[in-house]
Amino acid sequence: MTKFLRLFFFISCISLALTAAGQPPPKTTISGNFTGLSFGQFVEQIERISPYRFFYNSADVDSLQVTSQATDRTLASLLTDMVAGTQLRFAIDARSRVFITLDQVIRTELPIGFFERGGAVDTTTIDYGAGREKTRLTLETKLFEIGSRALAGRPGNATLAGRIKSATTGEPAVGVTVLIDKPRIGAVTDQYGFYSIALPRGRHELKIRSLGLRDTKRQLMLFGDGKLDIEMDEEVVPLKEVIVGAQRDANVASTQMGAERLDTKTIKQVPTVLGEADLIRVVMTLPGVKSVGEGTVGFNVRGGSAGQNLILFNDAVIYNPSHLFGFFSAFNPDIIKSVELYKSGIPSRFGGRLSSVLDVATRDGNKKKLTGAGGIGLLTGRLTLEGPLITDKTSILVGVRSTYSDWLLKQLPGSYANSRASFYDVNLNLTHEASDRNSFYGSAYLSHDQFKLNSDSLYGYSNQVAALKWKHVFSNKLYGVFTGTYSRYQYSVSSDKRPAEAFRFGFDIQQSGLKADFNYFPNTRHTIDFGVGSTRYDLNPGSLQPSGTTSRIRSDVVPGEQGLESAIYIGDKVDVSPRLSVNMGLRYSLFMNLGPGQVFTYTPGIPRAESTIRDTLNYGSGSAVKTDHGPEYRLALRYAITDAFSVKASYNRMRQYLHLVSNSVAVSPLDIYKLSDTYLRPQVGDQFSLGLYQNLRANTIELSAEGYYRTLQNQLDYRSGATLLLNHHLETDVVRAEGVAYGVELMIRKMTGKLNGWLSYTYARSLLRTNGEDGSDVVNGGQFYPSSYDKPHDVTLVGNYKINRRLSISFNVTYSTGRPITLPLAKYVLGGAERVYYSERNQYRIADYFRTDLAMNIEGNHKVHKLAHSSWTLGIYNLTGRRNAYSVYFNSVGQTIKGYQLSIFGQPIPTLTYNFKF
Amino acid sequence: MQNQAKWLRWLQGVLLLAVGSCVDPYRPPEITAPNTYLVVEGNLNGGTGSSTIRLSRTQNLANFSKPTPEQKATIRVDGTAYSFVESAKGTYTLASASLPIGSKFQVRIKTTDSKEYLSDPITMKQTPKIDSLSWDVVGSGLQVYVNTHDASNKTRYYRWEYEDTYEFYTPFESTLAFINEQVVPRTGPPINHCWRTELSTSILLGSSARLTQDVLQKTPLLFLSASSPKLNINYSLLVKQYAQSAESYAYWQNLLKTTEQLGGLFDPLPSQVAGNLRCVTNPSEPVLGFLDGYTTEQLRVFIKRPATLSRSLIRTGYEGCFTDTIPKPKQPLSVFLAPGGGYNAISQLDGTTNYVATGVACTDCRDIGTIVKPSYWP
Repeated sequence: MTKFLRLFFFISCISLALTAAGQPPPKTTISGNFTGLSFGQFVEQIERISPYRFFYNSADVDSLQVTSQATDRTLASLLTDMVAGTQLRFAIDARSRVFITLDQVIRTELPIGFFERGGAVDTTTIDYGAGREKTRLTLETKLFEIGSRALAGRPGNATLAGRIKSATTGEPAVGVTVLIDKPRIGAVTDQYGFYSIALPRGRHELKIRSLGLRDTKRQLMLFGDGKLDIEMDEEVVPLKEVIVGAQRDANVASTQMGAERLDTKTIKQVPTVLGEADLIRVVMTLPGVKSVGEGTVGFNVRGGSAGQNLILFNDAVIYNPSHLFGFFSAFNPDIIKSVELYKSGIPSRFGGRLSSVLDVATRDGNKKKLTGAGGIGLLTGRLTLEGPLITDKTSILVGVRSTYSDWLLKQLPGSYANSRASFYDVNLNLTHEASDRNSFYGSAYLSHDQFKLNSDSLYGYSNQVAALKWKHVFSNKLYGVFTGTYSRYQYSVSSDKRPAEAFRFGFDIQQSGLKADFNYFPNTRHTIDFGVGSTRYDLNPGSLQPSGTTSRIRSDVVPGEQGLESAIYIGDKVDVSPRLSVNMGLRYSLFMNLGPGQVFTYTPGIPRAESTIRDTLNYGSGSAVKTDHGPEYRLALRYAITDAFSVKASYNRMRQYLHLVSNSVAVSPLDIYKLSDTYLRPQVGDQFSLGLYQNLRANTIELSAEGYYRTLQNQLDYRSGATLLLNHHLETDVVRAEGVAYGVELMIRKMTGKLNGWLSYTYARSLLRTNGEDGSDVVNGGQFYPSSYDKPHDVTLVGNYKINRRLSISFNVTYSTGRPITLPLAKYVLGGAERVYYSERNQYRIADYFRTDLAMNIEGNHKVHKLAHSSWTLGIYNLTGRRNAYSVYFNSVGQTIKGYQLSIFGQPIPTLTYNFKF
Repeated sequence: MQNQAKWLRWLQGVLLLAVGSCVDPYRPPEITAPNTYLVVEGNLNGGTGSSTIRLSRTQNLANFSKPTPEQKATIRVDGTAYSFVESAKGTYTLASASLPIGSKFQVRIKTTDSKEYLSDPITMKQTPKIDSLSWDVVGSGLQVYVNTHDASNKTRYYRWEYEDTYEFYTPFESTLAFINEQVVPRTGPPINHCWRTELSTSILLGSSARLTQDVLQKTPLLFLSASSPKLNINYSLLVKQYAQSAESYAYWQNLLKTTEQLGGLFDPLPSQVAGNLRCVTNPSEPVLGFLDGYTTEQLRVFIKRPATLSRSLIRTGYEGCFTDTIPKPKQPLSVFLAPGGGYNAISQLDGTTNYVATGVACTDCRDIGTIVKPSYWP
């Protein structure tokens, strides 16, 4: 581009020089009153009364107001007055052409001796393409006038709105803070890069700060409502130190608490087991997030079960966020834009799960040029391509990731010969900006997993997700997003080793939803969002089918379930004073379990069992089997005691109508989901939390302490020896439990400098109690007992040390208390057979968990223009080789029962990944 | 080719590193501790008749010996003069007592380590008679059902135990014995014809709680596979029926669910099953088992193999039996026929000093049965 510009100016300079040499310029003077004209009008008049022709970029001059009168003045002197004090420069050539430029004067003649030098470009020729740096400085100092000048001097507020994009890719910049300092008013861009801020009319310096993008500012003269789109530069060199260059004071300043925002750079620098950046693993390093063990899928947030996390991928629900038993997360790291995890103070626009919301947003794709990225690790390869379909309007992003481990396993002799394990996932995103007011987004995601490790059963599962969005800006103060989503999760197990017992077991859940969300910015003090949505669920809770003609398996199909979940919400963020802001919200949700369906009635007063079924009620298609509804309150307060120290408090209530039914400790590939019905009541959770936030050293070090207390109603626990698969009356095997969880999370975080990262300590308890209503089982005598994911102490250190611009070292140290288990303590003979005596549920713990990982990132050189940027990641997972237990199990060996502990990563595991970007 | 092999070995190394899993023994102190809790099994017999209670101790999981009986304990029925007598090691019997139906009793146990255990009040229940036992051919076997009812609609919860006996022969008959280094004709009753009795090992429960009438029809009791050696010559089944309280029924149901499978990776969470006994001296000490009070009803039937189950399906367990000629060179006869030699002679080969012989188990059924014909056998 630069070269092209140089050539262009070279040629134009030649032609100018030729003409300049041809005829002398006429001397013309100008008279007239130009006061109050815009520059454009001024130009029109001048061009009418004189031979001058103007060449300029109207954007450069739109804030210029002409105030001069002239009597027989030369244009040059008139213009000199006019541009005085601005960045504008002018030049008039021999053909009476006037060039208005920013900062640099156009030279209208060639340097002396130009032609004598053999046509070489003069060294003093100005490089007009000198890059964004100058443009940026210009934009930052230029005064933007917003609104009509006619409104000048009016008191009150005006609304400024617009979109912030990345200058390099044209993608919307999310989570960018737009603020003025006096008075302190700020807004944050949403996932579409849209912001709206109500400011007092007048002169302002608008600061724009963001993650990973270079901070910038704009000079504003605000007369009335108006629009200001801003492009932000990306940091050219992807250095780790930029991560939270902006939003430095968000920890203290925002009302949001219990939320963590991660961007790809943070995600990519945390060492992982098989060398591939893993979103879920990184989320698990955050305080308050735990997993029952490595190589497991689910995570537990603040003492909630794994089924209580709402995992959204571009607004569509993902049921199984992992590949290969949890060794990889289901999200391709190259397409992720940002991840937000809400642990408390959950905004009213989210609902449906008790414990957390993990909101994953993907990138839109580069709107300017075709680029790609990829990587090759020990087991997987991935490739992402993105680019414009219509420059600056429509972009496409395609990401593919797949294992080649299946091939690897097949190459091996002996015991691995019959093993298979593979997965792939595909992402497709389309973004179209039809106009300033209308944008369309489409995204689709497909993942598939298959494994068979030396057993005869073949497991497979897949996620299919699609979302369509239409964003419409009604006015500066109001915009709406209309979203349609579809998610399907299904798994199957099949075996055909013994033809007589060949079977296929399948489960699937699908949900389709429609919603409308609106954001309304009535004035400086209020930011209101509201919306309505509805989701339809269709479940096939399980089917066992014979496969092949010789199979004698009897087919068993659990009847399907249907449900409709609807919600309406409103939220308002009020800035009561610069120190105090309040975020309040109300959500009302309604769930209907719909027919066709069967409900069994049981003999009251005795435990529900197949033998106590009294009657069967049949419900027709579409009729409501059971309806539940209730309000969900959300409240968050922030009080800033000083600019660097604030106190926040929040309360929220959540309701959950879809239950994950799993009685194994980890999320297993055989978990099922169940809708609320006559017996399984909606889960209701309340959380109170209080936090203190302090920033030190000019916001470079964040300290935070958050405490919370949660109560959870209608939790699921299971009868001893419950059968969950193919159970036609699940209510006979589950017991209702109430839960209590409380804890304190302490974190110190430094996100800038050579050494950055965080250290967190969490003390958290998660307890359950069964009350034995309806004569159901009482676990542990009706006392509170630890849930399976109760791990009181947890210390995590995540760090990154940048040795130089090309070499950095990341490390990750984790310690946590071992999870609770129920142990077989003794054996005895009763009723003619040997029995095992178990301890009370979850009364013991497996050994504590400790792991250290180390990774080294070697970047190629940082030249801006080269074919491809590449980097190597070399890592060691579990450096100390500690054999952390993945599972503890017991087997009968002859006459005795022996305990075993399986550690999956029981030794240091080296990894190597090659990443590239073009 | 060699290069490829090297490459594969390298790859395997990488993969093993990557998969890198390992299994270690898991022996926390809680498991290795000698957990000896009292186990109480038995019942109070309602009305008149004898009651039996067996006491034993739990064992460490790694222990492979038989459970230790709890001896020299005293068992009394609280509020009465009745006291149990230890009739065998760990087995205590109350020979004749009158525990009227409908009344409540508590059982008090004192062990030699001077700990005292007390049961919850036990209500004496009348067990209704077994109406009949019936059976059908289902798939490749025979399903046996129990039919019973209580006209007063009071029982509702039932538990069964059974003992079954079958008659069988070994495939070979040994007419020769080896006594004092001599092969002599075998005397005494034949040892190739036996009866084997087995006790039920699973928990068998039934309930009519969901029915308007206390009637149980065709409640599945046991399934005899067509390949089982039981349904061969003659087969007898004795079913004992016990009326249960709701608590007792729940206890057995829990025990059934919890202990008939062991924890695996994705297996259900097990948990403790609480019985109706408590340790008075140390309330935190667990006591295992459930004492209930009822009368016992029993019914014996003989079942012949139905014609629809092909006899060719029978697996007698003697399929591995074969004959051999003994002695072998350099191995005298005593090596084979002396105790521990493992062989029984079937017959002498004509005109030689050699014998046709086979394994002891193939001629002598006393290892798994008894040669004494049961008194009830036709």
